[in-house]
Amino acid sequence: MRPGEDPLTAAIARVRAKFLTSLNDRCAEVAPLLSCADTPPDDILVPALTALHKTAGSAGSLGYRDLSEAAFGGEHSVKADLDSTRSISPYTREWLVCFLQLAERAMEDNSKDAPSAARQA
Amino acid sequence: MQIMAIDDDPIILELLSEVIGPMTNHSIITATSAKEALTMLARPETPKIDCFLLDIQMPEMDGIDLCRALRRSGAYPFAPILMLTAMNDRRYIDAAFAAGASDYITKPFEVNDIQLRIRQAEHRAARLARQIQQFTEDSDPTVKPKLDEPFVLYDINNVIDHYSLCNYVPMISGQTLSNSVVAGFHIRKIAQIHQSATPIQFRGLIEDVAEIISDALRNFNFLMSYAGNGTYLCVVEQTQTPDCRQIVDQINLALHQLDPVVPKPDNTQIRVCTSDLIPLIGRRAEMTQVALTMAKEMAEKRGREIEIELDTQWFMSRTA
Repeated sequence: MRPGEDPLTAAIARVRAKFLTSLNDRCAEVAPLLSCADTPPDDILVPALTALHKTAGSAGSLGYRDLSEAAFGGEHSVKADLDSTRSISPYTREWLVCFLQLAERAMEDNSKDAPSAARQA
Repeated sequence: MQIMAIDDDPIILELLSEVIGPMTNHSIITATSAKEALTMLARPETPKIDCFLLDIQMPEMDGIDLCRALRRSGAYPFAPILMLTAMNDRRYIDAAFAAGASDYITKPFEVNDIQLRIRQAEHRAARLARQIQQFTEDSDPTVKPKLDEPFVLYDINNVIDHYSLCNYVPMISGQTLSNSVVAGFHIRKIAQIHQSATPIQFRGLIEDVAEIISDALRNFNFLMSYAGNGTYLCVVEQTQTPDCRQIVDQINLALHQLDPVVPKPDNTQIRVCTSDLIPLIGRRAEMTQVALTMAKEMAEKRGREIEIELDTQWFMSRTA
């Protein structure tokens, strides 16, 4: 815990660090959807939807509201595509790209913060 | 309280463990699936659980089925069950409350909000425990529920406890595509009935009328609760707006046929009246409680007006 930091902020920071560690894996589950020309097979679809759903639920509580919204938008857009055309639409691709970019930015920001946090500790 | 959180996302479980365990006076244990939770609950060394936090979308068994299983197991009929989920569609909200959920929190959540909702659940659980003590078979059978106190009715289709209904209504009021109306149903002369009935007769009447209302609304998508003072609040999806007058006639006919075992004031039959339908559309979440209060007060006022009308008619016929 940093000096002057309240316990709640410190607790959220600890969970946020674990979240960012898992985010790379979650991106790796989502990215293959972008290369699916037709209906994604279940071994790509199910892990991708699970990763999007989990990120939608947790990112916002940890301070990454935009990432949470992009994950939510991506998940629902993929489901809507599957209900209609059965293939990933350009609109859904935009959501997924947005999600991956925001996730990358969050991980980059964290790696920039890490040395200064280590110095303060 | 001893809390059990069930979620397939370890990050959520980590967050809950951090913000509930050390920062409140509650303890928390976690499980990553419904199956794991049920296995843990079956173990004798698992502490008694006072409150559950359930995710909905989980592999194999989802949180709604788990909620139903916990209620039906008989081991947790009163423990608060808070759904903690990213699923914000109306059908999930309805299904969760119908399965026995006490509250519904959508992800992503604010940590302070979780802490507040757990505190509210704790207060509610304490009140319920007092009620249960009153009504268990080995408690004093002469203790009658207070007239204005809502109490929990079990095993009646779509009837949930009043606390849960108050949590349900703000959740659905924010849904833009499927709005609802609330209607109050009130047992006329309930104060006189309450005064002369035994505790068992009074409770039996409240249960009988709840069953009859639930049956009369069976073709609608609805949830209802007993709000105290002989009044029930029913939240009905507006796509199938009921004709309240017709429903009340149906209820009163069923009451006539059933003839509940309870002292009848002035030897008249037990009868129910209703409020107008109050729309929940466009109400901010915090204003939905006003709609519930309005429906309750309107139904009770209607009951008083009918009695005055009938008294006046009786007096006029005597003087004519």
